[in-house]
Amino acid sequence: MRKANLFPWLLLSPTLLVLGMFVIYPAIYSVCLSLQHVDPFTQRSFFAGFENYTELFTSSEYWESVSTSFFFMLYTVIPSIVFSLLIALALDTNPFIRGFFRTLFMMPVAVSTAMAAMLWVFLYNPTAGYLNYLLAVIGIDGPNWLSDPHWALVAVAIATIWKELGFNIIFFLAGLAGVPNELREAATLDGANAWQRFRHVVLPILSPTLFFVGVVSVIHSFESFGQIHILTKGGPAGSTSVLVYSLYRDAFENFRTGYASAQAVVLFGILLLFTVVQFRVAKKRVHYG
Amino acid sequence: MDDTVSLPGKRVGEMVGAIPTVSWSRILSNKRLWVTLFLLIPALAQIFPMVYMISMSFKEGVEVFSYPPTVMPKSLQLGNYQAALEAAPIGRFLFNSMVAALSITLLQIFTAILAAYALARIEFRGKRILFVLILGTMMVPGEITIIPNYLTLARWGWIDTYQALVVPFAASGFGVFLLYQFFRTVPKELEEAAIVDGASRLRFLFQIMVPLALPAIIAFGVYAFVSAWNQYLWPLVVTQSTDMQTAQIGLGMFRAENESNSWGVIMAATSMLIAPSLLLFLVTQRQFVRGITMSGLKG
Amino acid sequence: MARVELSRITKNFGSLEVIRGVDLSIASGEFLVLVGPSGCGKSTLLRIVAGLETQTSGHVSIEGNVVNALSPKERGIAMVFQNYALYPLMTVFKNMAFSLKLSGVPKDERERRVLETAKILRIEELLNKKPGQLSGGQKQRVAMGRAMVRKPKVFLFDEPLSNLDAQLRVKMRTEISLLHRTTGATIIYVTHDQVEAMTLADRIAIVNKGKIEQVGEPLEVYRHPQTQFVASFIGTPSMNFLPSSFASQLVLPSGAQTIGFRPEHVCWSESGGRVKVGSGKVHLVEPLGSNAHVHVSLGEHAVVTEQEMSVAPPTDSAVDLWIDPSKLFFFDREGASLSGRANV
Repeated sequence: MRKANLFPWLLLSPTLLVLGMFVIYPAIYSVCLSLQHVDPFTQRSFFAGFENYTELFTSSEYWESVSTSFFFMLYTVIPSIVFSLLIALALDTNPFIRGFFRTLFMMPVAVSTAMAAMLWVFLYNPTAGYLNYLLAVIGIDGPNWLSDPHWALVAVAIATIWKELGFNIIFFLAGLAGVPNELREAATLDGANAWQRFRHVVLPILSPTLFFVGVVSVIHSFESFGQIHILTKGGPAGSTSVLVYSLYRDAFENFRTGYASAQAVVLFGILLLFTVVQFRVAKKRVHYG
Repeated sequence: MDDTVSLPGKRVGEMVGAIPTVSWSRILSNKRLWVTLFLLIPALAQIFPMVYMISMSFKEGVEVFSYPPTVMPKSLQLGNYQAALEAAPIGRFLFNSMVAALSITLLQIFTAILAAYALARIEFRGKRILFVLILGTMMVPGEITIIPNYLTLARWGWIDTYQALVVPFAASGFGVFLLYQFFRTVPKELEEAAIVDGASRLRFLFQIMVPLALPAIIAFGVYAFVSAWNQYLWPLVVTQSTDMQTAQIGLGMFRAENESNSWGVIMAATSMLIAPSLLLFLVTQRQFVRGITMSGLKG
Repeated sequence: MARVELSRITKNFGSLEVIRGVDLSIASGEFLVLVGPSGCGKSTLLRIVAGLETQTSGHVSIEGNVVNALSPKERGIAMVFQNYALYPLMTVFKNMAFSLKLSGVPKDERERRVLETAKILRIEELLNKKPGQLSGGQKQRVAMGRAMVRKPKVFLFDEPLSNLDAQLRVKMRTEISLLHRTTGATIIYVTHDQVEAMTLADRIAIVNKGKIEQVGEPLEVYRHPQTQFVASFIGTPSMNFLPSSFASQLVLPSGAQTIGFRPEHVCWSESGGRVKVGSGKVHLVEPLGSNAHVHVSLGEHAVVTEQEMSVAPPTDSAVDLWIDPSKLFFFDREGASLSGRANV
């Protein structure tokens, strides 16, 4: 009231300082950097206009990264949503086992991306790994997962799905909890079978969650880095070099700050698009519940 | 939550029928049984890598390469753990991770409480813009800030320090948003009563508001801790010496040197590095799930 | 014990005028009730006295000192809120002791005063409970106790009984009266319930659209409302109003546009100088036990009357309405009461 003029600013100052200095300022500064050439030896920078962007969009390597990221998204998002939805639906029918199974499915979520990747390095190991042994048991000659350019991206995707599955299940379970039982019962009385109940009763109520999980998964897939750094380091033959990996390499291995910043800005643009969609949906979701 | 049974019509009949005579056809036609069996497959797939990791960490020498691979080790050998501890400062990695994650969590909680209170409870000029600005930071991915932040910290000479791991994450737009929403639900009259009683705004905030918000704060804290603990790209960029590396980055040492370390040693190292986050998860499962559902942002 | 004076208080929220020039003086030890419809500004007025809201202009003084610049705790007031506003995680004891602790009262003194107050309010056995474990009435008592332990000069009540059920409200009303008598403190009490106002107040201030329409003792306000608004707001069922043409056989005070009469003053027959204001049809009878409310329609107008059950006419019967002219009120175009008597 009387002292209200300065007081709120005082309370907000730590947050504003940190977010301003480490989120807002760098986000803007990235755009400036992307318009510069920085000499890696003298550290002097020159205004370069859109040169970095021109180089980026004419680089076949970058376009390969774009397509790798796109395929990585397809490989991770679709299976992880299908599996997690099926599992959540199954869990939802049986409250007695739900808690126990949820704990099991959640455990990989608690494990960090890097640790998860390490486990899979081992599972994929052509000699000591269990995966190819299991495949051999059912008569399949497993590929050399991490060193075969045709399989490396799939291998990374499987490890990623393994880690993210529980995350999606949680959201679907929360969404399913919002389906009123009376509705399902009413549908059953009306003679609906399991599929019809799902299609006409559960799905409409679940659809905001479904869309939300979809968008979040897409954003996650575009931000993936840790598992790739540990599993394949972008290889073999660049077959797993997704957008963030390419950015990391250009910034911190090739020291091409301007060029890497241009990549960061483009990536930001892509993610922003999805994030805006996600926020819109998040609003609706809150509205629903 | 409502754990009411979803197939009520069928249940009663099944139970009545099941008590007097055990009928196999009845059991086999029990949908629940099949659903549970169906769930067992993905559930096993989810925990198998971790079980296998633990088993492998106890295997020594050639047993690692025994074919077919076995899940149960012949005996519990602790040699791998000893070797892993000798190969890398695993305790130090965990300590670094703990320092960084704990500091980030506490700082985020503290800064978010102050900011959320100002936004939720005080009217002042420019509030709307600040609110949008702070919320807007939730949309900025770490990838775009990493290069400028690295340059800033390099200029300050902070590379390879704890500050570098912590300070850029000392505030969280998400935390502010979450607590803002909670604080708004606390009746205004409670604060007025405290003011009439002679409490200052800060005393009201920390003595009455914060205890009320504790469940939300804890859920956010668990979420913030796990996120900080699992960070990869940033610590990779700002740590250089082995002594400053966090658990996630230190683990990479074993990956890089996998020729010289046996798989048993690597899995022993991974087990030790994974244990804290798994333990934290098992202890705080409810808050963890709540934190994630509230966030819906990042995993 | 303290006198409270409000002089020329105004309050604007942006361009909205909520309080439009209020002068009011409350005597030491007086029980003053601010009553009015919701949104009339009565709560804002109370909050200005408390210091929770700052007036746009005007002065508040307590005990002769202008307190405009003082914070709530420096004003020597205590407040009881509509939703009790008890600290949810503190025990009843801590709730009551909180303000004492903040003002540095030593521990044993705190304990003594809380116990003493708890005894008066008969809530000793609740002291170790949390607010969530209490019933509405108990919470109400604790909220009052929290205000009482501080021995404030002025108690402020903001619709304290509106969250209670009807029976409890009556009981708590008695307790508040008791509190006033035992402490002798000055009380300013806000309510929208005119029955509460009538039964509790030494004086009532009727607030309408940010202004005080009338201040006076309950019966005085009831008998001599100065405006049509006050006349309609005080008394249940409320006063009937008809255009002055219904009393054409009388010589009305000049400027009279509207006549008013209380439901209980309507009779069915001529006697002792009564005048007839009209004939109508009974369209509803609400029996209340000893009395009944009889609703009569007079063409496009409706009148409510209160009768003894025994003389209440049956529904649909035709009735004449007779009134002693001395019981009639007259209001001008602006709704001001005209003091002149009607002559036959």
